[in-house]
Amino acid sequence: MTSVVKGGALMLALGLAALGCKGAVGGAGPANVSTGGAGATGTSGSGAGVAGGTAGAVGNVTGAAGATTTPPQATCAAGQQGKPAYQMLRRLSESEFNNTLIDAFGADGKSWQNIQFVGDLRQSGSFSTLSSALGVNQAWMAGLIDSTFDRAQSLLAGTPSILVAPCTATVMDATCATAMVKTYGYRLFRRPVTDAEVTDYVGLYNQAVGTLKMSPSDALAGTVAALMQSPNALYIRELGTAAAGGTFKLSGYELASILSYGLTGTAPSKALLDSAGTGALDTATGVASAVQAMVASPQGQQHMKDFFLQWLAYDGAPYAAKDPMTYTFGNDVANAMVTETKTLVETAYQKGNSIADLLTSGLTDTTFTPQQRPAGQGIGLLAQGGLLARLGTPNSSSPTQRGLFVLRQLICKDVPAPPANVPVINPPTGNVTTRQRYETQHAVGSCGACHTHMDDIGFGLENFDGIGVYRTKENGMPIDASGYIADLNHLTFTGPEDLAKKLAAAPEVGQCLAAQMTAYVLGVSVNDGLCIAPAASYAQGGTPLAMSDVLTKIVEPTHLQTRVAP
Amino acid sequence: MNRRKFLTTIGGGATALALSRSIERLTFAAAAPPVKRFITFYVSSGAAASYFWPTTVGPNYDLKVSLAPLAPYQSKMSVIQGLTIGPGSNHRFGMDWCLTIGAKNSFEQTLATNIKADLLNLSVAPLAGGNEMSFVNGVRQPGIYDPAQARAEVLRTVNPGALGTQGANIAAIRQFKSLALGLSQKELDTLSKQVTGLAFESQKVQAHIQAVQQVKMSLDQNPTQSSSSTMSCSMLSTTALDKTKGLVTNGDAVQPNLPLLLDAQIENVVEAFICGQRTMANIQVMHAWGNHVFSWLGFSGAHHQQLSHWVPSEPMGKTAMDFATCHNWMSSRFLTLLQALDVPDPLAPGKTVLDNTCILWTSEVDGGDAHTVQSIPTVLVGSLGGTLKTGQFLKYGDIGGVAPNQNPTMNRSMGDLYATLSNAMGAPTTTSYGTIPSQGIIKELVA
Repeated sequence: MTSVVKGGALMLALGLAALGCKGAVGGAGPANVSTGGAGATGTSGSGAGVAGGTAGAVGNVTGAAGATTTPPQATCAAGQQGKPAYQMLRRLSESEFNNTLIDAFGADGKSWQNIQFVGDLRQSGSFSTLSSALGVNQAWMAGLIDSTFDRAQSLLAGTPSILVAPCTATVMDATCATAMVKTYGYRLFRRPVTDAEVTDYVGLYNQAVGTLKMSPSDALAGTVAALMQSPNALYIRELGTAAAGGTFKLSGYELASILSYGLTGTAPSKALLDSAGTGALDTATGVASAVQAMVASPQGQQHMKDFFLQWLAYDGAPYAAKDPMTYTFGNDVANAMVTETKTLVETAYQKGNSIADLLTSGLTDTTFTPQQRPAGQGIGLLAQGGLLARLGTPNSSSPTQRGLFVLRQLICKDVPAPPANVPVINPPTGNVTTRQRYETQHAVGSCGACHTHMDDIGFGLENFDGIGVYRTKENGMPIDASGYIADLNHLTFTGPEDLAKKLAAAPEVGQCLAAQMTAYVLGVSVNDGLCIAPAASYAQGGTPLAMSDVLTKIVEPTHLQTRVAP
Repeated sequence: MNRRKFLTTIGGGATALALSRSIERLTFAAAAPPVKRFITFYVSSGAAASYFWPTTVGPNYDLKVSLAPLAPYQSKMSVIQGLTIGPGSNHRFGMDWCLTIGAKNSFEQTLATNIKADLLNLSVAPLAGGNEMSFVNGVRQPGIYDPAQARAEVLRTVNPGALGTQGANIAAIRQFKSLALGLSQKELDTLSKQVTGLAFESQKVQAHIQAVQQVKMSLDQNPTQSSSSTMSCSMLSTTALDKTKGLVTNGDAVQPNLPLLLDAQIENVVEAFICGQRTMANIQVMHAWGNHVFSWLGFSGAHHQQLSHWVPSEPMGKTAMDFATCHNWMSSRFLTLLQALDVPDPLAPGKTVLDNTCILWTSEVDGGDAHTVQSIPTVLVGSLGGTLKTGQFLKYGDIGGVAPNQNPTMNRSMGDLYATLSNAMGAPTTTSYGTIPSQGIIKELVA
């Protein structure tokens, strides 16, 4: 195998193509968030994240002439993980941009609620930070220029004032404009503003009051707005300067932005920028210290909570359509399920648990008071009712969706999207099990080539019905929860607990978690994350690392401080 | 005109930010605006079939609970049952396909491009996790959900010259924004050189530059005088808009604000249409699977989860009736849109704005219970200047969830409707919209 990462995905895709499967492989990545109705009676059962994605912008940028260039994809041979990421410019996401403005100008979040840009829409199968999906088009730009101007006017008129000395409410002259540009440019550009830039922006102010006869207040607001919508504010630069071996070494300021957005979802603090200016981030010790502080900060903690939410999409249960003739599934139950998984995941992270612990935890929780799960009725993440309910159809479980979840989120593998004319799966009849129904329809012909990668994992969770209730029989027939994971050398298992334990012991799962975190933190694809995340971030001596340690390992300076050209 | 008040906010706040966003709009502003107008009015989660569809086909059709408030306009409506959007199912599929039928551009975006209209894309009370119906090149186009932002958008094309001193300030701000964009372009040019050799990043910067140039160009072109002396945006109603000040406009806390936000967005569209600033608009009310609670109707169950998923075996049961009651309320608000547009058309003496408009009420699924997309709730209002036949209930297809095109002579798709509407709007038609082969124009809709 020439490449553990690309090679694995490639081999799978080629194999499927040879067997008659059609469609493009979407990048393995986070689950869809709030996917809504999980599919109606009779859907193919392969919904979540497969057909849900819109033809779209993921991975493509439409250029001036309408032509598109696909983003470069990392490749790495086995044992060569830990590669530097590619040089790139990453536009701030809508959330990151808003956070930046809030931090820079000191306003509380509520006062910013009305700021609206055209907005970023999570594309199916990607984190909100995915650089290749964050572009600028005319509508976005027009919305940005209006909203920044509007917001700057409000800030200047608001309390507390954002004016800096020597500005006052009645003195907003060119000297004042210079001070404002230097002060806020530093925070927004995340580096000192150059003299030439100061000249440009103050010149803009002077034209406003001189040529255009705008009021000093409007002129100053416009100047601040221009800073906000500057490319220097909008893009996280990961370009660096040429260094040995064809690499590019990132500057301290570049690194400050990468770390801050990656670990806290917002701009670097003034203190961090000041620190970067002294060269503190040029050393491994300095980076480690900064990372530790950011990870431990409230923003850092929240940022990781958002990661788990995007990765696992555990909030989907209230949006899952369930047939009331089949299930009693009210919002109270669905919301409690969301709380249960949120608590499980976040507690595991905070307690220093590993992905293996998360998969095999015997705890449950619906009231923030952990309790022991009923013995023999499932363990860990894959026994969470909210996930199981979301990964189902209105009137049955869905081995396909459940298997796909494991495949994409825990193993970082994928299957091609289903063909457009995929046959509809037969509805439950009452005299066969769900497994029999899926086997009859999916395990034949070209369907089976793809579905074996999903269904034969999902069968392991058949002890849980369409809303996650444990069962040993279906329609009077015993549940067969045996299966195998084709993508883990046909690893066999029997039942949900065995599945969870086998996954927990698989090194690929630890590697996948590191890749998912890398994708989220650095704004790259999960496939790229598989190459970038160093092997040291998966496990130590065969034991999976604490998830919090995985995070710090993937931003270790050995590979973080450099970039390579595609 | 006592229903209007002077826009005191011009020159001092968000609504003062008149900015021309697109070249097409400026082209339109300089030319005689087309008389025909179009609105998409989307309501999520389908409908309760038994309370939505009339029983009697033809001109003497009946209105059931869901559409009952629209009785005053029954003669100006067509209710159409049996239009499919494809072989898929569920809300997500429906949101992707309801206006695209699988194409990369949604119908109304294509129409806007073809007739060089500037689409006012508005959203009402989106909750977290929902999706939008409008697409350009496969990318969702979120509607503006803050009514104040929407009003600013409406005012972009106001002719500054017609607004005296305040207009001069608008013009100055417009020029300033152009200068600021010029500075951005200078910075982007520098950035572009720094990413030479990085193909993807370079293209990203080029796309950004193009966007800056497009917005800047629109700012640099001053709209000329309004084409009709009877049309002016110097006075606009802000009655509904004022009531939304300080309200949460999106996110899960938005639910109780839905009525006021809807009224304000309707007002925005009405003002944009009547003052001639727009001829096309989207009003997307809620997102699919949006669990809004219609508490103002006394309900505690969510619109999508508890109401639309009513017990299938009781299609006329209480939950279905509750869901229909939500539609009844929605129809009452829809009625205000019709009434507000039912005023003399300054561009077409003798007709009302409504007469020269077509409003499409649509959704993404048939109903929340089955999640099928074989018979999308479809209501048309307005005749587009007499080119569309109204006052009828049309019923197509093999209603009941059978896959489309099994009975081609009877089945119709939304694509057929889109072809019909395009033709009526004076836009080119194609043999199919999206992936469903077209059966052609729906002749029963042509006057």
